[in-house]
Amino acid sequence: MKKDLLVVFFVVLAVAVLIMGTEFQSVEEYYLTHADEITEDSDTVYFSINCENAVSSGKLSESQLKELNNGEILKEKEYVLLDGESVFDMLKRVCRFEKIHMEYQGADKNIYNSAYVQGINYLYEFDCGETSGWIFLVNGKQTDTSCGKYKLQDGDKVEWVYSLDAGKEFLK
Amino acid sequence: MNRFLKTHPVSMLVYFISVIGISMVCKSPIIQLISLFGAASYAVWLTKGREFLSQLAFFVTLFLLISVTNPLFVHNGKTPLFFMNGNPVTLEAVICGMSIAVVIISVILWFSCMTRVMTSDKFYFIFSRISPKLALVFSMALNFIPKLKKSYKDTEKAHKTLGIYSTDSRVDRLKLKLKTMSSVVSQSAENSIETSASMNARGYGDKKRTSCFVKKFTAFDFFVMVISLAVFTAEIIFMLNKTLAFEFYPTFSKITIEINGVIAYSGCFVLCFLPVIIEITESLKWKYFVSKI
Repeated sequence: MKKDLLVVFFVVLAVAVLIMGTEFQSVEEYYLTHADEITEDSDTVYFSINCENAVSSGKLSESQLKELNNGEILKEKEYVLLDGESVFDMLKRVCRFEKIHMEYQGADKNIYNSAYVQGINYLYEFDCGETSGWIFLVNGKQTDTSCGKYKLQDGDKVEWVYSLDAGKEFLK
Repeated sequence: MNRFLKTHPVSMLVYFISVIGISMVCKSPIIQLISLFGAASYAVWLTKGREFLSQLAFFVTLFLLISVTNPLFVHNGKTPLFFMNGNPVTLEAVICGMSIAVVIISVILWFSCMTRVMTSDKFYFIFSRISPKLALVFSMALNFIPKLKKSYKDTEKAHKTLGIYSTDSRVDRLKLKLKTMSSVVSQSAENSIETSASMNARGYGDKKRTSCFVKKFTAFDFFVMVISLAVFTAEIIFMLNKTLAFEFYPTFSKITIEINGVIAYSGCFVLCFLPVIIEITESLKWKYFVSKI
């Protein structure tokens, strides 16, 4: 009997640790964020999310097309850049503020900052074939680091675009 | 009464392949539910309800487990219920998990019905002409689980008489059960070598060996086969022309009731409930004739 109690105790402990480590938020709580107001001396970044080529590729289902609004998910808009923010931090913050669905994979807070964006606004990687997925351009160019590592500067122009061919169509 | 049991093996196999194929491939929740209830009702009929009730707890846990696991890994979907570590847990993912669970449970039920009705001699009858080795492997594989169950029970009884289970602790008992299981598995591995040698000696797996199975292909068998094939092809066509298409993400596609859909659903209903319908009409006939005498 003692052994049984011990096992039950450890199981309860493990479950408790698991629940304590999980953060639960209601929908209102999650979206309750506000962007900082743009003042004269604040750093700003131009941000846009676009998937026009995915919409015109004809490979998406009707229910997906209904959500995508002709591919313009977020029109170019100026946002305040916080100190030392990466492209991924910015995307997360903007999506939360604009109530856009976004899913990512990997840890953004480890030393490698290896976050990978799987889907934005219900449009996921591989939805338009094997080489399709979300990539980002800074000032119209692809970078050689991941979005979690790339630190932004004042006046940068960030575009999240959906590539059909592993980013080759955005090479210039 | 068990009329469906006496169907010709070939049409029985065609029936089970088409019904399991539809329930595995089709995404429409209505078809999935029809298949689940058809499988469950036939399982209840075959086991007279007793065994099915003992399995019910297992199916309910499986259902809950799958429908909870899916939203933990899939965050797609338009209606978030709440956020967990910054990831949405959505209604769509929960319902999608439920539909996956329904498919898995109905396929398990169909297979359990199939092993009850399609005994290994019928498998041997069908496949021995095409490939005797395949038939042998098939029938031996089908025999494996019931054999293992029986040998587990025997071993457990033997262990009980040795006084091994006399401990109070549930943990210890679980450990002992695992020990019994491992001994049973190693025993069956040993047996399989012996079985194959002995079957070989008896001429199984030889093309010249004929199997005796007295069965004529009657009009009833033809009827079962035609219904299965017709409904199967019809459902495939309805799937291809998107009558039965259903999307979970980003949000549920609407189920509209059109003439095509009604035909598809009623066809599936007839196919899934075919064994039960046959049994019920047969038993009604039986009662009618008995009362006449």
